[in-house]
Amino acid sequence: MEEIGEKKEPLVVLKNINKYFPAGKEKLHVLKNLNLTIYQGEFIMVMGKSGSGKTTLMNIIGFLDRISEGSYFFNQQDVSKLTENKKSEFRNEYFGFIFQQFFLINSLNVIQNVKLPCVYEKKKSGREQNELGKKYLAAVGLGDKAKSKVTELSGGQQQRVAIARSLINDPLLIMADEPTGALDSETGTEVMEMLKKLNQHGKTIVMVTHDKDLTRYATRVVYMKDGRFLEEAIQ
Amino acid sequence: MIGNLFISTFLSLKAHKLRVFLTMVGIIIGIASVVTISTLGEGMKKQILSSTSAMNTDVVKLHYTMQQDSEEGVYYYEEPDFSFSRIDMKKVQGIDGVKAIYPEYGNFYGGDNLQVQMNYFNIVSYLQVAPNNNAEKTFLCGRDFNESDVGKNAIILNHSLFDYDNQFENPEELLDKAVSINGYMYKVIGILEKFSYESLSQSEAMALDWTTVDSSLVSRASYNELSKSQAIKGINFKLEEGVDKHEVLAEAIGIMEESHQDVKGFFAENDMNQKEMKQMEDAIGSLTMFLMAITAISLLVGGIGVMNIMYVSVTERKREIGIRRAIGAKPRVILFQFLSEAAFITLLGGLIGVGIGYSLSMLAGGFIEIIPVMTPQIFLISSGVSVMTGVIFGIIPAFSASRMDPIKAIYN
Repeated sequence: MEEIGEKKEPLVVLKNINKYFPAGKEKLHVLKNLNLTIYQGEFIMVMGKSGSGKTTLMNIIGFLDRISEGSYFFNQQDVSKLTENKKSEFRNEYFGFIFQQFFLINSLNVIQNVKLPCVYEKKKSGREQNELGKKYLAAVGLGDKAKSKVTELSGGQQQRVAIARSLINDPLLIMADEPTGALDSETGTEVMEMLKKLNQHGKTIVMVTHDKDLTRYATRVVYMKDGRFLEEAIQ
Repeated sequence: MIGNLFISTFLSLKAHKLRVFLTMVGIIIGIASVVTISTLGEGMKKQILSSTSAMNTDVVKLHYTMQQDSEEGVYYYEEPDFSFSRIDMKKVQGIDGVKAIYPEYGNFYGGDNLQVQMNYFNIVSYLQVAPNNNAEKTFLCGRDFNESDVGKNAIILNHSLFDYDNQFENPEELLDKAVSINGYMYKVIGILEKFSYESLSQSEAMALDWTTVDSSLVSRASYNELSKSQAIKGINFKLEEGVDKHEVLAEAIGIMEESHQDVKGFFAENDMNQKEMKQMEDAIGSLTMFLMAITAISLLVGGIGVMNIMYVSVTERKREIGIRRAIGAKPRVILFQFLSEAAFITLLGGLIGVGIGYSLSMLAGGFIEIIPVMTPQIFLISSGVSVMTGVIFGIIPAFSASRMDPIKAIYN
């Protein structure tokens, strides 16, 4: 499959990406010669069955995993061979992560979780971090829960805390891995509406999902099977 | 950032209070032992020093010896071929900074003792005689010196005469009798009670003048009379304030060496007290080091406990590590976070240990009559050792946490 996507400002450019995982003496070929360009302002959904390679693709885009072969340009910069420290900086500055299981830190309260990316960014004072944390918590409708323990919140509320955390450093790209997978349909819809609103405000979003119903929120859907793209649908 | 690190450390540890406390126990025991030993050792040293300074530190003792100073502290007695004369004393009297000089007769034990021969009918004994020092005495029988003794030869016999010499059946038989010492007749006016070493406290033992414990006592006038026939073994210089004792000593040695070029031995400072003090300090130092080594083992065990619990913590918090890494924590931030947790556990354990150790040393000090001394060094070293234990034993688990792959950590 050749390069896909509209000709806008490219944010992510993946060229001939291959990813292997060691499996005993053999190598498992998980991503096979993938090419993908993601433009600013897109809401891309990656769909596919389990084992199709969609999560690995997302991890590679989000600097959580490294490519075995090929090249990766992020924001017009070759990022194929970044050091661990540099990858941490990129994740902190340019990416917001939303996971299916929310992945909040239970020993920290709500606002401490939200402002954690700011803590690692080391650019804002404690007061600025707190104000920003409160602002984003209010934006996801949890302004009154700042001091609550995360374990006291419902699943939907925890996912909203995770969304606030993903937004606090004003990232270029939001990576969402099955963000509604652990939520009931009503709460799932709330979360999707929230992501849609963010996209309408210009945030680029890459989301991995099984749920075909959710494709209506995307501007582009790519399907994966056995480590390859099958087809795309532009909405 | 550091503030956040502390908050994060505190919150993580707060979540496992009991586990943190149990981990600290090893460190608490280790540091408490260090502090108990160190504060008692310091107290003992201070006591020795104060008893040393109670001795005449403004007095320099010059003596004549047949041996060069021996580092090993091994000496063989050789009868000296020289003793000081009154002319020698006059020669050194004029040295600048010397307030007064007086001869030291001394025997093998040093001090002011004279070794004299006492005859009672056909019984011959040897006595150590010292001038009466007006100290309080306990008598087996008889009395202390009083005005009626002025101008007369009187002696108070030490009980040691009867302890080491069984020629007398009953010590009291000598009371009020006349004995002959160096040809002079002396009236025995009292006999001291047997000296009891067992009843001495440590501080009393250190303050005691051991050179005269076994001495019989005569008046100063009688002592001077008896000493006329004695060889002068040393010259003691009492110095004026602020005078450098080494200069005075060097000058006196120079004068003596020039006056007596044909002698075989050496003129040197008689620093037996200082040597004894040094030996005692060294002994305390060695004991302290030995106990410290035992303590180090307990800290090692405590440290391994910390390492173990940090490994458990890293394994339990894999997902948290992954989340932190995913949202931008660099490997070194994770390293510092776990290190600070380990250091915090051991620092807290160390501080509790310092408190317990000091209390224990106060308690123990009450029994062995030593006042423990807590110095800033002991406090800082103990706290420092605690933190270092945390850092040393926490570094491997912290490093393994920092090297975790974010994705593997998140999805376990």
